[in-house]
Amino acid sequence: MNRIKAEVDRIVARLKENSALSGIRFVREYSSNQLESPIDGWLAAVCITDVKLSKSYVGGYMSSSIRGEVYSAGVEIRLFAPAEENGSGLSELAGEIISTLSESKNELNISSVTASAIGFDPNSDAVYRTVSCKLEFCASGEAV
Amino acid sequence: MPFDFVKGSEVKIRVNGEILGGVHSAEIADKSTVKKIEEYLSDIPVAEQKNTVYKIKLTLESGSLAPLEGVELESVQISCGNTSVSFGECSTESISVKIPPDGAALHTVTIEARRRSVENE
Repeated sequence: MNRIKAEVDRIVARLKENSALSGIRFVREYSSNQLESPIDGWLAAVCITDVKLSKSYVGGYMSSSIRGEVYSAGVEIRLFAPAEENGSGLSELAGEIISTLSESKNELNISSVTASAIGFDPNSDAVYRTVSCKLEFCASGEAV
Repeated sequence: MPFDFVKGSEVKIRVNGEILGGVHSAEIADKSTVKKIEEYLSDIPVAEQKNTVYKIKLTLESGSLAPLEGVELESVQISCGNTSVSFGECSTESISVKIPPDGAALHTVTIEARRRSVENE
């Protein structure tokens, strides 16, 4: 299932193109590197929450020449505000992420974008907001 | 083999010999009309004439807004394992498309066939 990682990388690459988001460091959540504490600068932890089969076709044929199935995946971008900022600017940056993802829906195969309320993470001692999106992709398309 | 059912993932649908992709589901129905021939003056049925047509309803996603447009429908073949069911003398009865605001457009194609044959290889 490396395709899903590639799809998530495309999302992050697209967000990095937005100059308003240039000050954010994107890291993988649940990687071997622990999230820093206290948070130094804007940090976005990206993780894949779930993957499931969303569409399958008779005979496995997506089209007359490609066999495969369509999966949908949930991706979470948890945006942490720096400890010293006390959450100032969090909603503006989260809004910028939402609008960038919404504008690139077709390009990135995103079906929906949502954002959570502002929360507090006691482990990293920081406030955060989570932007979630659902994306659809073909996990193992092969030409016939 | 503990289970021996027809599974959708093993079924191939061909139209004019070409594999049809993006098919969500296929529905095949036999529709028979029986005409009774009645005896003159007594109205007692003495014979029946049966006429069967086969309806193939396909629900599919397609890259085109008008799939099968311009395709001269000659045959539809549905095969699984060694068995294939072929439908001949086909004509398109109806095509409809449902376009959701997000996701792919879903086409419903109903094909009427007058001939059916089952082949076991």
